[in-house]
Amino acid sequence: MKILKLCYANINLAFALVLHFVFKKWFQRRGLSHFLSFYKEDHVFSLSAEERVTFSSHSKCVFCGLCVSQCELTDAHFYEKFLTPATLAFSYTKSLPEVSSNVDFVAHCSSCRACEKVCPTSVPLNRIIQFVKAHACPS
Amino acid sequence: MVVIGSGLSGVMAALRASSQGKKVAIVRKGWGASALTGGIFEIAPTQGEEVQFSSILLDLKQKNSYHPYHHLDLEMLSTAFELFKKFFPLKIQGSYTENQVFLLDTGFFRRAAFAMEPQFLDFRTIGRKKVLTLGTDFSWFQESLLLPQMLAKKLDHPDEVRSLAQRLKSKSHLNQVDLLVLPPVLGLDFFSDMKRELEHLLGLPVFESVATIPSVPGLRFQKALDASLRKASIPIVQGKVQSFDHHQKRVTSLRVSDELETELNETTLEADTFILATGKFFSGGLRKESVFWETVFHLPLFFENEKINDCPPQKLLKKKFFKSQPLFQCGVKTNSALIPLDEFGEPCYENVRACGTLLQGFDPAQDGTCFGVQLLSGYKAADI
Repeated sequence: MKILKLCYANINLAFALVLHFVFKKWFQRRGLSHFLSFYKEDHVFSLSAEERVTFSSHSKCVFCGLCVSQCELTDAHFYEKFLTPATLAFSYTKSLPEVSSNVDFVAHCSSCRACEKVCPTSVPLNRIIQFVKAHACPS
Repeated sequence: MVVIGSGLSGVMAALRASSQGKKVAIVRKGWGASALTGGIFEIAPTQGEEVQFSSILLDLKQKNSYHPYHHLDLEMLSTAFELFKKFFPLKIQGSYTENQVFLLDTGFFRRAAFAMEPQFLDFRTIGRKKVLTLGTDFSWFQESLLLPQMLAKKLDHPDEVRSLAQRLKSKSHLNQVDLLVLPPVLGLDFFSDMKRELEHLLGLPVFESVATIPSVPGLRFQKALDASLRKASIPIVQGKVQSFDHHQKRVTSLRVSDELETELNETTLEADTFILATGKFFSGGLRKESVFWETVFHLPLFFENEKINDCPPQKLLKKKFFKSQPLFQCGVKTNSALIPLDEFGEPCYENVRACGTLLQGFDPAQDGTCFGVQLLSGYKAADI
């Protein structure tokens, strides 16, 4: 009985392996792309190898708020939303889907880098802005 | 002369050197902990009974034999401060001899010698006046905000101050109150005008409490420091010191470049003297990675004259959170000329001087001597 069970399991495994190699040719990584397309609206996306290296430095922000005084956008668009470099940088201590909440800021930003110049923990704000522009802005 | 760091001690050193006719430049990578000051400035700690500074400081020197005050001459304080005031655009009021009591925005009181103009309300002199204090949750304001800086930026416009005055009048019974204390949010650039405007509209004196972090007075202070550098026409080189050259025991030049894109605009600065005013952990003068290290010249760090570069951090921390932590007292050991020393008591580099909060033996946030040490050590470091 035991041997029969083992044989059945092995045959099943072999069958799955053959199926895997056969289907891989036509349906390449169907699961991942399906998953990503499904969660695209929620801004879950895969990072490239370069971005994976720099992504951890995005969350250096300690929310001291020094950049707020330097940003021109904080003045101009105050009434619409709380658009400040601090909120942008701070959202990276949360999860990836938070990127979408920064689209408004990035759209107005002129990349003057004044915020970067005063940052005590040297958050790469300009790089974050390019990152959000690349991933979250509807193109 | 090159000064590294544009906090209070760095600016003081640069002003002193340029007043002596030296050619000075400041290198900085960003703002540091000076931009988080609450608006009060401490020289010596006092508790309870009124005591004169001189006796307290003798006591302090006896208790803590590593304190930077051992190398500094307290009688120079008024000279240093007068020079600083000459270039500094904001008003700083107070006395050299005794502490006043100021209200923090968390509801606690703190003693300090000097305060900036909107914070300068000594609670010992109030007597039986009725004071209305508003909290930092901004529920008295129409919307809740993430950061007080945003509100301060908003209140830089007179229209906003007018609507704030109306809201305050309608919400609270101001006719029964003699004095109003707001959290420090009344504008970033034009705060004294806005304060006067609000006083005129409400018909009673308005003050600001002392800020905790995040801090609006700190922003005002740092902006004023930058303005005083402009006034003394001292150039600022933006960037991080990537490396330095030395010939035997003299540093000859620094290579400064943009922190994030290191290849772009690299500049080399040559000077006779280098003044290190980079501050402690928040400002980026000290770092903890696998070991503790000083970020510019890789100097050895000390706690009570013991080298701690390879020390595990849990040894430098106490379990009681609000106690003074040894970690924040560590720093660079210097001789009486403020030249950094190594563990054998030899000078590391002869033409480098360390000043400000980088020095070992005091905790700038806790022990109530921060302003005095910064000002005096900055003054002395540039005084060659």
